[in-house]
Amino acid sequence: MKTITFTINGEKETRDVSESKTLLNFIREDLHLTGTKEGCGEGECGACTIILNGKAVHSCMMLAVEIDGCDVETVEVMSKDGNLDILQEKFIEHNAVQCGFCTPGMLMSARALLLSNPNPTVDEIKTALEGNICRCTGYKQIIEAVSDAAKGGKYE
Amino acid sequence: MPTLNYLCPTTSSELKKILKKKKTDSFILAGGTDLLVKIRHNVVKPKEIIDIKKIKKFNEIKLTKTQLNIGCAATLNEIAENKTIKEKFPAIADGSLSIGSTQIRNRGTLVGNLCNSSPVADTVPGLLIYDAKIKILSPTGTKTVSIHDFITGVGKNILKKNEIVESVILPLPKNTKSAFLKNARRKALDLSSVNVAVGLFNKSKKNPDIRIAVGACAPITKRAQKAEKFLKKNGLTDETIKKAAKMLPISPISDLRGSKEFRNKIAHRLFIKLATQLGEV
Repeated sequence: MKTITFTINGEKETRDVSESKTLLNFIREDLHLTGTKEGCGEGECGACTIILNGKAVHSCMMLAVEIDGCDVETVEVMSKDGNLDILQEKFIEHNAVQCGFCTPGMLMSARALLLSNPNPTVDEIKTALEGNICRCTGYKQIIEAVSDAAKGGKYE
Repeated sequence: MPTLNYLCPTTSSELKKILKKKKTDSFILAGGTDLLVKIRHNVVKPKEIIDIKKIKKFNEIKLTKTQLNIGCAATLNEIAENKTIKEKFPAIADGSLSIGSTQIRNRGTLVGNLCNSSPVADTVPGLLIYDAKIKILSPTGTKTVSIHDFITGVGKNILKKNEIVESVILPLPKNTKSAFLKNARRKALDLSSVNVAVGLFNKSKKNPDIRIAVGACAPITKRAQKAEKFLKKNGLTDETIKKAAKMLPISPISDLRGSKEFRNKIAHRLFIKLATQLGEV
């Protein structure tokens, strides 16, 4: 076991964690934040995407001990006091959700993009989402939802 | 995953002490985009992980008057977005950008791509045409070797068990035009069927200092010396480029990313396209 200190969705936390635990399993099993999903477990599908120090990364391909001293955001950061984030609202409005399994990862990739680039082009949106696979083939609606959420360039 | 001992040195001297005692079941962790997959599939069974990312200088991309140093923990996206690399070493920037996805490039490193030593590695053709030097750190100090001597086989390189690559050094070229192209089944998250880097290192079309490397078509990606010499002697024309394409040192295999016939054809096409483009401007 190793003691790590990190920020999760804005809250500072100190936890003991097994050195062999992946960050994804730590998030789901220890922090009980089950919005983050395991799809392939090897970096192909993007369902486990989280934001680490402002960048979208796969939580399945990291050890939990690696987040010591880091800032971590999961999909749970997005809604506050029962109010949805603009990205979540636009995903619903554009029917960008079908089975919903890829959605947390899609939202995290889109959020990482808008936080660093508030006015992305469609190509930039596609690049940001290239690591997120949707098997219900809803890419068109997802890209439209992200474009719409970015309107005005004031995402925060 | 079995129990692990996780070590996270914050200075080179601390790392050197760890490397001195490093055993064969101890693995270096930078981005982890290859290592974590190998652990998941039981390809490797580490008892110890040495995380090298917290050593500050390993994360740097540093420009001096004569060279550019890329630290072993610098991520592929940091490299792809770096202004100097985009300007002076576009084959490295584009090679890095063609790997995996945004999430993978935010973690994976160029040095990891190199040390994995896969024949399909997308940063290797670029490293070859820029004559990169590889700085190796061991418990006793550092040494520098040429990229041309680094990779020794499929997944194999000259690194000994207590050595790591600390950085990649790219000598700043003059009068360079260079580019990288990759063919894969889909744009994101796919390995190359063929990748090619070509650079023109002088302004002479008559005696071009051209450098060519074709990847994913042989166990070890090497410079196309015969084709380079031929073009230097005979000049850069549509005709000589077509002849040079037949001299590429490629012996592709058939696998799920393409048959050998397909790979041969694509390698020729990508090389001809790049060489023609560079000759035009």
